[in-house]
Parts: sequence; C-alpha cells; structure tokens
Amino acid sequence: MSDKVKNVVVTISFLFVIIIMLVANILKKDTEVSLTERRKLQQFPEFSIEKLLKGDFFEKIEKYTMDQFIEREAFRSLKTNIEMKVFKKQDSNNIYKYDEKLIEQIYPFNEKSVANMIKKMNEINQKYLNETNKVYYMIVPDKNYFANNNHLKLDYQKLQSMLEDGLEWAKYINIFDCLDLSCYYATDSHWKQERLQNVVDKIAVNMDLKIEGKYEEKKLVDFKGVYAGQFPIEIGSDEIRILTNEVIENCTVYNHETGKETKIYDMSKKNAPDKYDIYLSGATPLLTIENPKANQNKELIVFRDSYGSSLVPLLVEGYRKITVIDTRYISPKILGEYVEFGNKDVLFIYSTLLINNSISLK
Amino acid sequence: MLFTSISFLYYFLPIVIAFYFVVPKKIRNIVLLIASMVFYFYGEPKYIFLMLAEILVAYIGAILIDKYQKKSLLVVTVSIHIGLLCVFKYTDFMISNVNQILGTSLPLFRIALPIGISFYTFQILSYVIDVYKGKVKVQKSFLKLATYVSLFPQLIAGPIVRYETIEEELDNRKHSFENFSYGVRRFTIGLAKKVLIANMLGELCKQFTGADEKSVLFYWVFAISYMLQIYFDFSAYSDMAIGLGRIFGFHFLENFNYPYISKSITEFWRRWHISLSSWFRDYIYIPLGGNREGLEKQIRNILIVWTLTGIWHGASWNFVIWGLLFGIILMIEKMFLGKHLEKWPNFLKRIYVLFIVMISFVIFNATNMAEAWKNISGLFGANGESLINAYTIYYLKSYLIVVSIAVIGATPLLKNMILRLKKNEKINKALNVLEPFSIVVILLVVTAYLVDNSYNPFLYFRF
Repeated sequence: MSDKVKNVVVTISFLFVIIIMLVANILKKDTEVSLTERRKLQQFPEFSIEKLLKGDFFEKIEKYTMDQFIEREAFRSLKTNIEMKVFKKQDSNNIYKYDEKLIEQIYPFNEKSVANMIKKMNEINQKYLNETNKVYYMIVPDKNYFANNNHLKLDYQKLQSMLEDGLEWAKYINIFDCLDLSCYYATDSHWKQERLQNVVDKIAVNMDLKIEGKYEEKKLVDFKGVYAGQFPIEIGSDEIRILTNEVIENCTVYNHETGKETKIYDMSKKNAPDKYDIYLSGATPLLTIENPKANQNKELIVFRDSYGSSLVPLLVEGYRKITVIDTRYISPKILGEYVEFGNKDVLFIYSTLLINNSISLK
Repeated sequence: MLFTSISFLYYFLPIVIAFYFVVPKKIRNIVLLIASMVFYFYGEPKYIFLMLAEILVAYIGAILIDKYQKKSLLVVTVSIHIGLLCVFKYTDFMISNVNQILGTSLPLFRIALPIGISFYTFQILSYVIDVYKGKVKVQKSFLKLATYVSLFPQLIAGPIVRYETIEEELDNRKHSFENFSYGVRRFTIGLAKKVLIANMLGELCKQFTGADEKSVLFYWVFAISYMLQIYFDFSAYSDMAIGLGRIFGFHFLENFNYPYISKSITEFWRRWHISLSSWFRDYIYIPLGGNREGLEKQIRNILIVWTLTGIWHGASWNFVIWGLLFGIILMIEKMFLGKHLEKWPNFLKRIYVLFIVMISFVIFNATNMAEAWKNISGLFGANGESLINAYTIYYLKSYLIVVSIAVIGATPLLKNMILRLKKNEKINKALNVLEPFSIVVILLVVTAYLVDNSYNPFLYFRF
C-alpha cells in the first residue's frame, strides 16, 4: 500500500470507527440494570440550568456515556483479557483466576477491623449473654486462603489468634480444615451449601447436636456470582443447589423486617440478581426460624453474615427455634426488644471477608 | 472534558469533525471556537466566563499596545493576567505561608483552580508581549484570538502554543489526508500511552502509596514508575493535542523529545516540556539579561527562572524546591560539571540524568517535603524497611510487562527501528497495510479500558 493510499485508509478507518460508535450509541436503547455488576446503570440525567452550571449535569452525562456504551460487557471483558493475557497482571480489580475459580485477593490484613469485630462481639456478650448461654464462634475462610501462594494473603493465623485472645468467653470452632476450594462457587465469594457437611459435622460435635444429615439435593438454577461481574471473562456458570428434607420443608421463617412468613428456601429469589438470596431470602436484619418437627426443645441464636444463610438451614434439625441476626442491618442495641437470649445456644458465624472489613457492623 | 473519555471520543469528536469539514472554510474557525467553548464548559462551566474575560482583556490590550506602543499598556495587560493567575492559583498558598510565618490564622479562600489557567495565561502573555515587540501582528478579530487561546486540542494541558506558531494557520491552513492521518496516528498513540501505560503505572504507584509494608525495592519501583508515568501521561497529552491540531490543520510544535535519553540535565530540559522551558527562556530569562551580563546575574536569572518554573507547576513548596533543584544543577553543569560530563561514558551520563530526574519527581509527587524526604531516604534503606518483601514481589510481577514496555517506549528505539524498516520499499508497503489496522485495534482496546474505568484525569491538569 502506498503512503497516499495509507493516509486515505487511516482517515476513513478512524472516521468509520468513531462515527459508527456515535450512531450505534445514539440508536441503542438504554439499559436499566447491569446484571453482572448488580447495579443500576446511569440513565440520561435530568436537565436544569442549576445542574448545568454546577457541573452535575455533565458529570452524570460522563457516567451515562460509559454505562450505556454499546456492547459494554464485551468491552469490559476485552479489557480484563488484555490485562491478564497481554500485560500478565496478577489480578484485575483485585480478582484472579485460579483452578477455574475466580478468587478475590483479600489483602492487606486490617488489624483495626479485626479489633473492631472483637469489640462489637464483646459488646453483644456484655449486654445480652450470661452463664445460661453456650456461646460458640466460627470463622469462614475466604477463597484466597485455599488458593496458591503466588498471591497476597491475609495472616490467617494472626487473625484467628486475635479473635481467640479477644473472645475468651466463646468457644472457637475451627472449620478451616473442613473446607477446600471446591466447597466454594467458582464465580462467587460464597460457599456451596451442598459441600458443607464436614462443617455441619464439626459444629454438631462441638455444640453437642444431633443432626442426621440426610438430605435430598436439588438443582434450582444456574448462577453467575459477584466476581463474574467484576472479572468479566469467559467462565462457566455455577449452580444453586439446595439440600432439603422433611424437617427443612416444614420450617417457617418469619422476617421481622418485612413482617412476612416464608420458607427456608425463598423461591421468589430464583430470578433475583443475586441468586444466593434463595437461602433465607438473602440480606435481612432479623429472622426467626421455627422447626415444628424438632425432637429437642433447644433454641439457637445465630449472629451471621451472608455465609450463614446457606449454613443455618442445615442446623435447623438440632433446634426448635433459630433466631438469625445480621448486625450489619440492625443495631445490637435494640436487639433486646425482639430477642430473648437466656438459656440459648449462641453461634457467631463470620467470614474473613467481613472480619477484615468490619466497618459495616453496627 | 478529557480526551480519554467516551464522551470526547465517541460524541464530541465525531460531531466536531463532521461540522468542521462540512461547513465552508470561512466559518471553520467559528466551529472550532464553539467546539472549544463547549469543551471547556463541559468540564468547567463557571470559569468559562473568566477565560472569555481574559481573552477580551488580551484582545483590547494588544490593540492598544499595537496602537500606542507604550510599555505601560503592556505592563497593565500582563499584570492583569498574572494577577488573575496568582489570585486563582496562589492565594491560599500565600495565606497559609503568612499564617505559618506570623502565627496568624487567616482563613483560606479555597478557590478552585480553573482548569488550564496556567496554560492559557502563558499563551495570552506570549501573544501580548510578541505584539509589543512587533514579532507578531495584532489580531483584529476577537473571534480569531479567542479561537487561538481556547483551541480545544491544547486548551487545558498544553503544549503552550505561541501565537506566532499558528498565526498564519488561523487564517489559512491546509487540510489533507496526509495531515488528517498523521493527526489520527499521533492522537491514537497518545491515547494508548495514556490509557494503557500511564494509567497502569499510576495504579502501581497507588499500590506503593497505599502500602503499609514498603521495602527498599518498592521505593525504587515506585520512583522509577512515577518517573515513567509522568512522562507517558504528559507526553501522551501532547501527542493527542498535536494530533488533534493536525486533524484541523494546525501544526503545533513538539513538546517532548525522548527526555530520558538525555546526557545532561541541560539537555533534559531541551527535551522535556519544551514549550514551557522555551517560554521561560524567551519571556523571562533572556529579558532579564540571560548570560550576557556576567556570572552573578546569570546565576540570579537562572534561580528566578527555575523558582518560577517550580511554582508554575503548583502552589506548594515541593514544587519550588523541585524547580530550584533543577536551577542549581543547571548552574553547576554550566559552571564546571558540564565539561567533566563530556568525558564520561554515555551510560554514566544517562544514569546521572535519570537519577537526578527520578529524585526530582519523587519531590514533585509528594504532598509535602516530609513525604518527599521519606520517599527519598527509603530508596537508600534509611527508613529501616526490609530490602524486599512479598508485597513488592507481587506488584513487581504484576506490572513487570507494562514497566518494561514503558522503559523501551521512553527511548526512540522503536521509532528508529520503524524508520529504518520503512526505508525498504516492500516493508514500508507492508507497514502501511498494518497501520490502519493497528489504529483501529488500539482505539477499540482503549475504548475497552475507558468503558471499564470511571475516572481518568491527567496529572498535568492540576497545573
């Protein structure tokens, strides 16, 4: 190709790309939600002279053009692929792929956050718990714990030691050896309910529970977890599977926030952006699970984060009633109005994700 | 508006290009002026009136200067522009220094810095001074002067285009596929330099500043990465400005010429931010007497110029010290080191330059001198940190390729290789086929990064 022809081709190619993109973006219908990122996308902003002069209008236009860009997901995927395959970055948005699983590099170790977690748990102990309670706690390791050593990791030993030193009033149930990477979803941070039998067995031994552990496993729906949106590369889907039996199916769950009664597995969440919400309806401050088929009169209070949602259903067999509390959404100060604590087992289930970033705890 | 934004690349630019080339030649300047106003208004709605007022003052001032040839008119016009620059850029700096010296607690005004004020003020100053000196003809058309000052390719981060450079092209410029494709090439290279290299180096620097566990090696990685980042960031903007200028028929002068291959600091400043250093040379250093009035005055002039160069970059003492550091080194080179340097082997000269420049940018990057000192002493293990740690190794591995590309890209190696290959007719033809393809690929890759990123400002916007 001669220089003259090249100049013409370069000019036309450039104009072609920018004009086609302009036209395509104008013609494209706006999308309301990004399912992969689980967020609302910026819509064309409302115009006013005040917003224009303050710069707010153009700021939103800037977000709008990015959020509504044609083939946005494909472009985001292209970027991640270039970062990982061309530039050989070790992670993208702090997430990396290992053994066909997407893993978040939880780092650095946030000592202040761990101390805050201990403080919050001590406050609950001092305010509500006494010698009539049997109190336990467990730490759910994040996926990064099980991945290879080429990535940065928390000092899990130190994290456990800090909690052990700060929570002498509670018995630690160490479940690190009950899990491996296959117990977690490939595209999400959470663990799979169907792989928690070892954890349940360990809890049962430590808390003196009788749990038969006979379940029917059902596949409910395909599932792309939170990391699939943050690390948009070609990766297969996960499946939401539930373990169920007569006991679980007969349980009722009362949601104190909505005032509604549901079942342990909330099938209305099958179409929710986060299908992990099927387990105990997802993020909610306070639930009471009643087990009419209970053989024992024991009651349990669980303080938990989202990992508890899929674990608690496997504990109902051992209790008549379980109260499930998430203090990210309800202040512990007002718990006394809703929960009677005396003579009950108490279990704290927190993941290293939350322990290392406990600012959201009330 | 940023060049590296979806709104610019896929809305503003195609619309402006379409309008510009569709309308008759005589109203193309008006299209550019309107486009430039929209461009500025988009990012800085309120301060557009300040810029227009400054253009008006320059317009009237230059006409009066041309008519009456009085120095007092020049002084008044220049003072207004410098005064406004000082008010918007240095008021709080001056108040906090007064507070510190006198122990007072005068409140700060917290005035937001109008984007590009340092660049367009210097353009205006060069215009009125050149009118006074008779170097350029006074511009009788307000629209044309406003087009020159506000021309969006160079409005907010340079290069500082002098009026004389585009005086003729304001009235009469040539458009051709050759110009357009050159502009596209430069613009696309700039996009890639900024989005794919500078921003990634910025991420690495951010990992350093956010790290609790620093190591001696990480101090070095940071210092080298920042030095590369600022070069790729700023020269990318100049590439894009020069490219966009060429698309619309303007020939802006080069602003960078591979500064990191310099063999002395004197040479470095002939290659780095050329439009700024030549501006200070022509409008401050030479009018002060330059090197014509003995060594003492030359030293004085150098110190004045480099203090101003430092403070031009920002209202903070670390910028002043950064400027003075270069002033002192330039004096040392002029007085005796220069002669010795000539005898040194080339690699040693380059290490000397790179080391000084690296240290200077550590100072430049710091928010205060304590931080600068900590980052410099960290390079030599004086902060008690380990030599190397897992954190450093991780990020070094993660950014090794981009740092390597940046190191090679900061030299003319690739450019020279291509030029050499192009001498062969067959290879030239093959490269010509490859070029449009590469430009489209780069555009799409950059788009992928822009779609994924929410914020992408240039380092030099704060000046």
